[in-house]
Amino acid sequence: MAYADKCYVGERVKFGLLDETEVKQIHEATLDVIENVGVKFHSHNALDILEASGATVDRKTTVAKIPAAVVEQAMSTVPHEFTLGARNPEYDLPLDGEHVYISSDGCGVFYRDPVTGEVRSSRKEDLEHSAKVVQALDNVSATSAVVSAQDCPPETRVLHEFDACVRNSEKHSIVVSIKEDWEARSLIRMAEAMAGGKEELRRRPMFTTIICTVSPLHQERYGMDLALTLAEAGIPVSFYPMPILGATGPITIAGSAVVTNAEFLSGATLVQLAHPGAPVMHGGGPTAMNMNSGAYASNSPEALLLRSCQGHMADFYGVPAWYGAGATTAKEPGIQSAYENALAMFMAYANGADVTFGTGLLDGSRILCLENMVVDDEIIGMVRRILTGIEVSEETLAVDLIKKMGFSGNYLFDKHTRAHVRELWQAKLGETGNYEGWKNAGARSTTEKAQEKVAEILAAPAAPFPADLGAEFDAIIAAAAREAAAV
Amino acid sequence: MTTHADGRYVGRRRPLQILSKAEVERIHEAALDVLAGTGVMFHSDRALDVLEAHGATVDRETTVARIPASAVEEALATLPGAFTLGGREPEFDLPIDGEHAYLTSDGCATMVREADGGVRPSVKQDVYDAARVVEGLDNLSATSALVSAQDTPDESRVLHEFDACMRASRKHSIVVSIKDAAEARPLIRMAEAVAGGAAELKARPTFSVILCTVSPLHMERFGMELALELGDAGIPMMLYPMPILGATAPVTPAGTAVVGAAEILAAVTAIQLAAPGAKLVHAGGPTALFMRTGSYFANVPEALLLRALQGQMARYWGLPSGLGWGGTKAKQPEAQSAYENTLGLMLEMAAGADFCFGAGLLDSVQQMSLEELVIADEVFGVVTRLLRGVTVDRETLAVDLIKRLGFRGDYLFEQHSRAHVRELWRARLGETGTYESWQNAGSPRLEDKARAVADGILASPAPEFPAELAREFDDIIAAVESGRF
Repeated sequence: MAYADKCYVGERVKFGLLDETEVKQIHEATLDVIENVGVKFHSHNALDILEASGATVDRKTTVAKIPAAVVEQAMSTVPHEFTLGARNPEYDLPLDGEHVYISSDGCGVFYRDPVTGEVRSSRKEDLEHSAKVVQALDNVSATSAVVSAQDCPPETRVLHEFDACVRNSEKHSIVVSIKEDWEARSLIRMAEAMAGGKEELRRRPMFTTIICTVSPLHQERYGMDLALTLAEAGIPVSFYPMPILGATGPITIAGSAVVTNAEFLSGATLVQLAHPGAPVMHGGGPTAMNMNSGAYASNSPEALLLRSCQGHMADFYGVPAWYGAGATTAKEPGIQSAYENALAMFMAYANGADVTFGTGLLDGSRILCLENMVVDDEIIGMVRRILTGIEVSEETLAVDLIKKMGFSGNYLFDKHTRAHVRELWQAKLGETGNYEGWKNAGARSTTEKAQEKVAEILAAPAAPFPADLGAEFDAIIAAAAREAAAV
Repeated sequence: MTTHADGRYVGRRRPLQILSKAEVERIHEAALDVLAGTGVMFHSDRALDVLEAHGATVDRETTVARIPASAVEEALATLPGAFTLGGREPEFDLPIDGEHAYLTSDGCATMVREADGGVRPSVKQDVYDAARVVEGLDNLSATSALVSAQDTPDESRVLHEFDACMRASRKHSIVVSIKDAAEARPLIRMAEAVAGGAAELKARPTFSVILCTVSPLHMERFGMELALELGDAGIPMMLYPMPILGATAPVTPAGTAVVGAAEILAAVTAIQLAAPGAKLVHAGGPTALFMRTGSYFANVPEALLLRALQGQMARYWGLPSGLGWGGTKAKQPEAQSAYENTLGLMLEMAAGADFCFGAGLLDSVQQMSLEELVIADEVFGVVTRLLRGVTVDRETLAVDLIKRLGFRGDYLFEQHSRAHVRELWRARLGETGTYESWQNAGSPRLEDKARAVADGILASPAPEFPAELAREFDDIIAAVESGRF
C-alpha cells in the first residue's frame, strides 16, 4: 500500500458554498478586471510573453491588460491531475481530487521551546527537527521551510532549508521563500540529483513552489521570472494571493474573491502561454484584518470563506486547490489553536482543497511549535475520515442483520461486527478511556502528550539519506555560495 | 425590537450533503422494511392501540408493533410546519424554521469540574450557575439541567432543575430527565405560570423535552402517556435515539443509520397518530464503541457523520433537527475538547441542524465545565458566520471599486469598507493581538480567560425573576413533595 492510499477520500462530502451561477459571476468579474484594469507584471520577460500573445502592455506602468479570450485559451492547457514526487517514491502524492494532504507551514521566524515556552529566533536545526516530525506523522504529507534558517547565509538560505527538509524526511517538500532565479537553478539541480535526472524530475517533481502574488493585482518580478524558470523544469507552481479583506482587497468576501482569482488567473495564464501544460495550482492565504488591533487573522471565518470560494474556483478551472489552513493566531498550543485549525482544515477540504499549507505555526504563522503538528495530525485524521463519508451498500446497510438481531443489542459478538470493526477510526492522541485511567496516567493534557511524542520522534534516528546525494548537495550549495560571492 | 433570534439568523443554508438523495431514500426504505418486517417494541398499550388502529400488526404478548409504510406516511403528513420554542421572556423566543441556528447546553451529568480541576457531585446550585452562564452568553439559546440536582428529592428533582433554570435565565429550557406523565403535570403547571396560561404555553412552549428511545428498536423508556400529556400541552418533544455502532446497532455507519431511522419513524408515527400536529424534533446521539476500553465515543468521525446525517434525514421527512453534540472524551478544557467538539458542531450545523444540544460537558457527558460553555459560545460564533456563507451580488463583488483602486491597496479608507466593516466577525475569547500584548497581559491561557468570563457573569446581577412566579413555583414544588399535587 502506497502512502497516498492513507490520504484517499474518494468522492468527498462537499459543501455547496457557491452555486454554478455564483462561480460564473466571479469568473466573469475576474475576466473583466484582467482585461480592463489589467495586472502589473514587474517582469519584462513576462510582459514580452503576454504582449506576443495579444495582451495590451504599457511598458511604463508595467500593466498588462489581458483579453478574456487569451486567458481562456491559456487555461485550456492546464493539467488537471499530476503527482508531487518524493525522495522515496512510496510517498508520492497524486493530486487528483480524491486525495487530501496537509504539509507543514512556511516562513515563520521563531521557535517555541516545548518545555520552557521560551521563544527564540529560528535556525536550520529547527527545520531538521520539523522535517523529522513530518516524516513520523502519518497524516502530514510534505515538509517545508516552516521557519527560516536564519543562522545560514541569506544567499544560500533557501538551499539550506531544502537540504534540511530532504535530509530528514523522505516526503515531498514545499519551497516558499525563494526569490532569485539563480536560487531556483541551484534548487532544481539538487532536485534533479534526487529524482535521477531532468526527465525524472519533470515526471515526479521533488518540490513545489509557492509564489506569492501581491494584492491588489501585482505580480512581482521575482515571482514571475521564477515561475517561468520553474515551470520550464516541470516544478509545480502554486500562485498564492494573500489579500487582506478591507485593506488590499474589498472587505466583502466576493470582491476579494475576484482580486484573488485575478491574481491566480493572470499568473497561470502567463505560465501556460510560455509552457503549455506546466502544472499550476490555485493557492492562497487571504486574511481578515482585526480593525481594533490592526493584526490580521487567517483563521477568521471570512478568511476561511474566501479560501472556500477559491476551492470552488479551482474546481471550475480544473486545477488542484491549495490553501493556507492552520495558521492560528493562538500564542501557545491549546484550545484556540485546536478549534481554529480544525475549522480551517474542515472548511478547506470540504470546499475542494487538495492540499493545505500547513501545520506547525502559532501566532499568525510566526512561531514554530512542533507539538502542534502532532495535534493537527490527529485533527486531519478525523477530518479525512469525515470527508470519506458513509458508504451505503447492502453489506453496510445490514438490513438482514438488523432483522435477525431484532430487539436485542448483541451486535458486539456478531461476525458482521468483527468483519468491519477495523474500519472504525482510532484516536492516536486523544483520550479514549475513563477519568480514573487518565488521572492514574498522570492527568496529561493533549498538548503534553504531543510534546512527549515530539521528544520520542527527535530521539530516533532520521530516515537514511544516501551519502553520495549528501555530497552532491554540499557541492551545489558551496558552488552557489561562491557564485553569490563573485556577484 | 431586535430579539435574540435575530442574532442567530443564518438564512437558507446550502446544506452539506452527507449522502446523495438516492442514498437517503435507501436508508428510508431500509427503515420502512425493518418497521414492517421486524417492528418496534412499545411497552405501552396506548401506543399499540393507536398503531393497530392504523394498520399495524400488534402482538400484545411481545408488545411488538409491525408498522406498515402507510401508517408512517400518514403520520408524517400531520407534522406541523415551523414552530417556536418560547423563552421565559418573548425576546428569547426561538423560531424553528430552518433559517436560524441555535446552540443549547447539554444535560444529565452528575459531576462538576471546579476551576482548580477538582471534581465533585453536582447540586441544584450548579444547575442554577450553569443556566446563569448560558443566560450571559449571546450564542447560547437555551438552558437545561446540565447536571443533576442531586441534593433535591427524587420525586421533585425535575421540577427543582426547571426552577433553577427559569430563575437563572430568560431563555427557553430543555428538560432531559423527565420520565413519566406524573412529573409532566406539575412541570406543565409551572410553565403555564411562566407563559401566562395553557393557550399561551401552547403558542410559546417555555420548555421542550428530550425523549430517548432504546436501541435497538425499543420505545421502552419512552412513555406514551408522557408523550400524549406533553403533546396535549403543545410541548415540543425531541426524539433521541442513541444507537451504539457495533453494540446496539451494526458497526457499519449505514446500518446504524437504519436503526436510528426506524426508531425515529416509529416514535413519530405513534405520537402523530395519537396526537396529530404534535411538535416533534429529530434529535439523537449515536456513538461508537471503543473496543479496547469498552467505553463509547460520541466524537469519533463515524458518530459525527451519523449525527450530521440525522439533519439530512430530518429534512427529508420534514422534521426540524436538534442534534446531540458535544460529548468530548477530554477530561479538562483543552485541545482535544476543542477540536472534537468544533468538528462536530461544524458538521452537524452544516448538515442543516436547527439546533445542537450539548455545550458544557467533559469526559463523555459526565462532568460539567463552565469554561466549556464559554468556549462553545466563541466557537459557535465562528460556525454561525461560516453558515451564513458568501453573498455574491453587485455590491459584494465590488467590481467597480476594484477597477477604481486598481493597483493601490487603499481599501481601508473606502466608503465600501466602512459600510461593511461591521459585518466582520470578531473574536471575544481567542487571541487576536500581537505576541507582545499577550505576554504583557500575563500570557493568559484560553481556559482561564473562559473561566473569568463565566465568573464575571456569575458576579453580575441575575435577571429579575417575578416574585409571584417564584411563589407559584415554590407552591407547586411543595405540593409535589408533600404528595398533594
